[in-house]
Amino acid sequence: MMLAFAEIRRGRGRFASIIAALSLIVFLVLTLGALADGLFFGATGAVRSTNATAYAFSPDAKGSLIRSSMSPAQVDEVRNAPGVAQATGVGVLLTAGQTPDAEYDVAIFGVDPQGAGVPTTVSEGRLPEPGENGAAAVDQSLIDEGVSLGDSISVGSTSVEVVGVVRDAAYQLQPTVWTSIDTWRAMRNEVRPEFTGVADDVNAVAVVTDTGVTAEQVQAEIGDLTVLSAEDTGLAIPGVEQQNSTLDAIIYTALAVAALVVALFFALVVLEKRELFAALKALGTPNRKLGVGVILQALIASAIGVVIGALASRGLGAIAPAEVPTLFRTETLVTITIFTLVAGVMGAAFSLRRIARIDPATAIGGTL
Amino acid sequence: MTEHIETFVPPHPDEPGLDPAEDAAAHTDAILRVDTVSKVYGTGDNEVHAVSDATMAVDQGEFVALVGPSGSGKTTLISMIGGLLSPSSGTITLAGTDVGGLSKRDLTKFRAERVGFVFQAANLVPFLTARENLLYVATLQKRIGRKEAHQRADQLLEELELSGRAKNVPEQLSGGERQRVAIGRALMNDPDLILVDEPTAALDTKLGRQVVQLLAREIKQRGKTGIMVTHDLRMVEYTDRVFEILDGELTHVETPSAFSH
Repeated sequence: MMLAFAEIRRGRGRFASIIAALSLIVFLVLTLGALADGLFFGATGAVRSTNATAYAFSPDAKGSLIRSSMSPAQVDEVRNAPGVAQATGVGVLLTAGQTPDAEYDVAIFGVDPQGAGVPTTVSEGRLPEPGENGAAAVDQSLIDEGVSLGDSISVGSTSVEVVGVVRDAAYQLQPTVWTSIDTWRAMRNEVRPEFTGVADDVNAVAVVTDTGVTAEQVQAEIGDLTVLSAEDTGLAIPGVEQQNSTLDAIIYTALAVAALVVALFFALVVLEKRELFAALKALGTPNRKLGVGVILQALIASAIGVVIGALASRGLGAIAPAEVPTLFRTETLVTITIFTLVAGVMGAAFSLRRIARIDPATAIGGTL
Repeated sequence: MTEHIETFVPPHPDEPGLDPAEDAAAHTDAILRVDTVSKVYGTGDNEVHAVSDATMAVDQGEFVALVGPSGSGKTTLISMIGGLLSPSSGTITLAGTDVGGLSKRDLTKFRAERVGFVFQAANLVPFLTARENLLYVATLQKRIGRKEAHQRADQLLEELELSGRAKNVPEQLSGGERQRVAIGRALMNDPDLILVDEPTAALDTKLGRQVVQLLAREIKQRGKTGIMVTHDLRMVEYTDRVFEILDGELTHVETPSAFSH
């Protein structure tokens, strides 16, 4: 302990290099993590922040809300399946919404306010009442872009009045507008006249399953349709899973680099201190004590790296433009902190064998 | 560490000294006994006898020198005595402990508690102050408590005239001061035996003499037992007896005065 702390205290210059390297890596990893979280949450909010536990899609839709199309008979089939407590149609339309001042890319969600698939994250105002047309709750991101309660948003000649705000409910990084099925359908027919003939269709069915019933179990009951849990529905959104796995790969590679950097640093340190370690061993220092010292130093360097990297990453997040979807979650910070500390310890652990191999007898004389 | 050329001049005493084995038999109360100890490296044709059948005895309170040319086996012998190498055969006993019979773990403990080392190049911990270098070795044993260790370190530094340098790191100390800190470190854990390896190698003659004189004084005052490996025959005048080693064999035990001409 005494050695480990004193060396860092009196050899700050040398440890500054390893701390700087670790800080940069942690900065990179945390920023990518925030981006990954921002992208994931921004893409999937509309299916995560509702009361639905699962979604059912038409067989050819591959779990995509926009690609799926379901008839009233299919909605009934889901509703009548065992293990399903509630099932109501959901309509989705990606389009441009006009306010008196500006135009926004939005995702219109048509839902039954008394049914499944309704946001549970109302932060201001209210959702449309059952049977109420022409009213909508909008995602917070639309408010951030300048829309206010009471504004009207129109698609073609159909318009809704903003009566509430919901949080964390974006879909594919687009702000959502939650209105009635009828209003949604009217808007859809404005932009996609070819759908006018299939008037009663919805895109998918939001499902609230009975307690303990999984999406797989419901799927088994209605073989021809696709049933996915709310979480899997998020991952099935085009690009989300690929995005996640790409960013995760970069993050884990960076963490592996961190372990390697620490390993190289301590390999050098141990090499440089062979003579000193031999003398310390001759004086009666057990291997364990020298090993604990090196591990402790790796932990301290990693911990300081995490603090500096985290502060820098948050700093960048604070000045980054709002269009960059970063989200700093405590869970991600905790995970990455643990991974970095583990990477540091693993890196340093490579030096333990080297330390154990140093022969204390070399402290005297040199050779025979 | 720099390689130095050893200039060993064989002594020409008036009459050859005693045979170490006969001498050992005469020292019945010796604290350190080395009994027919050998160290062999390699096997078959490659066999190298670094030390052959060494027998010697050192009394408590004695400060002896082990002299011999480069490659004579003096380092190997002192390493075995200090528990850094295990003998191929023979026994080494220090105050009743059979050093050769200790496990690796027990040897580490033995070195921490029973042996004090002074190395050629001091080998102090560069990032610890003089005082911390002394306190560090105290953390390796349990006999001396924390508070006592602090008192002991201060007292040693004062005796070694290092009180003013207690808070300096080795880099800020002169060569002589460093070697004095190393002496303090060797004495810190109140060991039975002090092993000194070429203490003057990195010092000039004048400083070297001072350091060896100081060593002799500290060892005598404390009733410790010391063995100094050296090739510098000018340094043996501060010792009680001189063991000569040549080609791995202890040849004679001399009085220091035998080397004075």
